[in-house]
This record gives sequence, structure tokens and C-alpha cells, in this order.
Amino acid sequence: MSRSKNGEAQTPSYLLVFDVSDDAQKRAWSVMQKLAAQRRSKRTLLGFLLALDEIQKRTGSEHSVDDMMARFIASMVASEGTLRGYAQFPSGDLFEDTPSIIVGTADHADPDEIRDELALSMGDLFGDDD
Amino acid sequence: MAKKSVLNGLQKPIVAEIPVPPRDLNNVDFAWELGSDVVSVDGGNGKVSAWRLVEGKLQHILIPTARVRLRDTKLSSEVTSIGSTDVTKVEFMGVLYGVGDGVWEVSDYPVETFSNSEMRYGSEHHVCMMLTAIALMGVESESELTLLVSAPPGHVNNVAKRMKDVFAAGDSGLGDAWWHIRVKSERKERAYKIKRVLVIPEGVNAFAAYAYDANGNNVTIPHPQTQHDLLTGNVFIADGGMGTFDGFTIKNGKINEQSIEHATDPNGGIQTHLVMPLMDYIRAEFLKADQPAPSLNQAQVDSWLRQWANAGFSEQGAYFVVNGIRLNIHLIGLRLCQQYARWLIEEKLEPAFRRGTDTVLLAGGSWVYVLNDILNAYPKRSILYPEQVEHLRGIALWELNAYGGLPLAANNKKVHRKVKA
Repeated sequence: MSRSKNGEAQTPSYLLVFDVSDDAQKRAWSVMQKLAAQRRSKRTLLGFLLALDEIQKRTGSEHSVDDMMARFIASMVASEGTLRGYAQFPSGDLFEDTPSIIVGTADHADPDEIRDELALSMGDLFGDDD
Repeated sequence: MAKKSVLNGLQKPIVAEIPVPPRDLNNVDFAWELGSDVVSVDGGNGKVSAWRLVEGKLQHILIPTARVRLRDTKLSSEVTSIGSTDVTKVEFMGVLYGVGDGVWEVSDYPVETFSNSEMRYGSEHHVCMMLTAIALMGVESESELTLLVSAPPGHVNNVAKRMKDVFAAGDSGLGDAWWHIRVKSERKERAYKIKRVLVIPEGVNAFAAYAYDANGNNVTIPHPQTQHDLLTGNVFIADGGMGTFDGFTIKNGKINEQSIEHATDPNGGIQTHLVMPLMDYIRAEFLKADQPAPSLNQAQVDSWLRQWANAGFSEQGAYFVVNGIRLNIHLIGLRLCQQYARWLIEEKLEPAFRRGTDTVLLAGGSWVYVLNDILNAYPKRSILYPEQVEHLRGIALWELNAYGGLPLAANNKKVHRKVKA
């Protein structure tokens, strides 16, 4: 097959060889065998490539395949815990900093006192009714 | 809670059950602390929201803070024609205005929003929008009302007296406190005597919404692990509205006066972070497509964002028409929301946590657009929003300041009755 300089395929065919001495590729080959037996291998690959293209179009940024796969798995897992009642936004890579485990100060007054304090500090708002 | 109600072009109030019955409901001497003459009104930059208790139920209404002058013309019944544009009309101080969503499409007069200025509090525009909400809510004519109104904490010191003086003057300016407004579909104008105006810093009402039930009884909100009450310690009130972002601390029930003075960020609201960039983007897209840039106004773009939010931020809920061209704001909307979330974290929440905040109390419509990103960013922090607490379930984030005036007033009555006894 003739190739362009950057390795881009020029004819609409692509030979895929799995190196079964590599654990990851061996695992992928096993999945491919199952898909091929169900005549779903091409459709699966096409689906993944189209999803990659769609996400790049929508986000306007290119991602590595490793990054894409990590995000795909993370989003599938995270969607199990979606908060009820609120739509989810894609968080991208905004919040990688893990927040502190500190839950706050130890300076907590009596709950009833602080609620009364709010009313007392404002004065008697309806005092002129008397 | 029911959604906004518009019938025959006239915006109608919503009547809803209170989320949970008040704790003292079964006491032998039970009585509602507030009568229907106590109305809490949040006349904000983006919307005016009014709430009151009527026979143990919540009555409320929300209209965008926008009005357009209208001509008092009507097609004669002798003319054979198609239907004419339906709009809620009010007459105030001798001028006819259209109000409500979509009103920017019915008049060639400019849309008046008067937002993000200290001068707006107590202005004719501000009073007009608040009385419009009160009249459309159906508050009975000839009533003598107590109004709980709010202003941004950074402005409240400067505007509280002005707001009280304006209402006390009445529309005649004679000091009788009587105000008149006519809903155009009604035969007679409505007259209200504003006998008392209580000006509360925005955010304090929201704190009260979390702290008390609808009849002013204390409600504690325990931390899921440590069981300490989440409204004790350092509570950072994070109130993001259409115009301003107000952030200040209430420490063990006391407002930190130092933090109040600089609490209001006029560039921290939806207007700056979502509406204006979206307008810029739409204009740029039109120009790219060799179309003339459309004339948009902020209230209109805000209404699109609200509709998109009400549709669950779905792509289907993001279609709008401008100059006959169909737009979909879904992707740009998501991107702007994400950027707004990042800004809020970097500029507001991180500094608050650095100062030792125990709980962040969310109020205001800003959070609707960023809530999930905020919760994802702080899974171990105490961040309060209405759906977490039973007694606020169904009350929207953007309604907390208006609704919160009622529990605040009810609690104030209760506490001071105890003090006097």
C-alpha cells in the first residue's frame, strides 16, 4: 500500500495486525475475535472513529487516543453517579486538583443560638405593630 | 412546585404548598406568623420575584426586570383582522408598559432594564417593577402592605434609606405612602399603601431560607459525618445573580461587617459571564455568515438561557430564532457555563475556603448553570443548595432571596415575642 509521508492511508482499506506478544494488544485481539464472530468488528471500529471525530469537532481540540479512551471510560463510570435533578456538564480537565479533606473549623456555636442571634441583631422588625 | 404560569398574555401567580409543614403546626396555639399583607420582593437585576403566604400556602410570581413603553392603541372590533400580539400591560405613573417574557418583541420603543447600578434601587423603574409583580400576584387593592425588599450587600448601606423614603412618599410625593398601578386587563386601578419597608442585604434572606421553616421555626442542617450544624461556624454566602455576585461571611449567626462592604462584585453575575459573551458570539457568527449583526438585548438572551436551563440543558431546548435565522446555543452555552464555573471557583470559592469557610451557602440563578461543576470540584466540602434540604425542596436557587424574606420575618416575630414575654 502506498502511504503519504505522515502515514495517512490513501486507499480506503487498512490492514490491522495485532502483536499478541503485547498484553494490551492480545486483550484487544480477543475482543476483536468476539466482535468478528458476531460480524460487528467493522461497525465497532467505525463507531469509535466517528465518535473521536465528533468529539474533536464539538470541543474544538484534538485528543490523543489514550486520553480519549480514559475520558470515555471515566464518563461511562461517572454517569452511574449522576446527581438527580440537574443536567451534567462535561467537566473537561478543569478540576484535576483534588480538594482538601479538611471539612471546616471547629468553631461552631449552638445552632439555636445562632438562629436567634440573627433575629436579635436585626431588631424587632414588626415592633411598631404593638 | 408548579412552573411559571401565563394565560391569555397575562402573567398569573403560582400557588404552591410549602415544602414541609411548619414544626409548630400541631401546637394548640398554632398561628401563622405572617399575614397575606407581608410581601417579600426581590427586585433584582434580572428578575422581580414576589412571595407571600396566603392561608398557609405560598403564592409567588416572577417577571423579568424589563419593561417597554407601549402605545395605547387597539384594533377596532370593526376591523376584520388576525389576532394581535398578546402582552401583559400595566399603567404606572401615567405611562403604559409591556412586561413579561417576550415583551422585547412587541414594541419599537427600547427595552428598559436599568440593571447593575446602585442608582436603580429606589428608582422609578425599580418601584414600577416591584409594584407590577405585586399587582400581577393579585394582592388585593386598598391593602396596607409590609414589604421586605433586598439590595446587594455592597450597596445596601447607601440605598436602604432612599428605598424607604421613596415608598413612604407615595406616587403623589405627598408622603401618604399610597401607590397606584393598573393592570390593563382590569377595569380599576389597584391602590396599595406601603406602610412598612424592611430592607435586607441580599444573601441574608437566603441564609434565613435555609435556617428557618416557613413559619419561622429553627431548622438545623447536620453535616453528614460530623453532625455539626452546617449554618454554624464560617458560612460563606455565595449569591450569584443576573448582575452582581455577592459573597460575604456569616460567622455563628453574625454578619461580618468588614466583608459586607466589599461583598458585591458588579462583574460577577450571569450578565457578564454568560449573556454578554453569548451576544458577542451570536453577532460574530452572523457577521461570519455575511449577515447583518442582529440587535439583541440582555433580557432576551437571558430568557433563552432560562429556557435552555428549564429544558435540562438539552440540545433540543437550545433552538432560538433571530432575524428569521434558527440558532442553536447548546455547545457555546456549555462552554460558557464551564468557563463561568472555573471563574467562580478561582475567584470566589477558593479564596473563601482559604479564609476558613466551613459551609458555602448557594443562592441565586448563577448556580443553576454551574452547579454540577462546582459539586464535582468540591466533593468533600459542605456546599448547600435547596434540593439538599427538605424544607426548601422545590424552591429554585434564584428564588431564595425572595422566598427567604418570609421565614426571616416570621422568625423575627417569634423571637421578639419570646423576648418581650
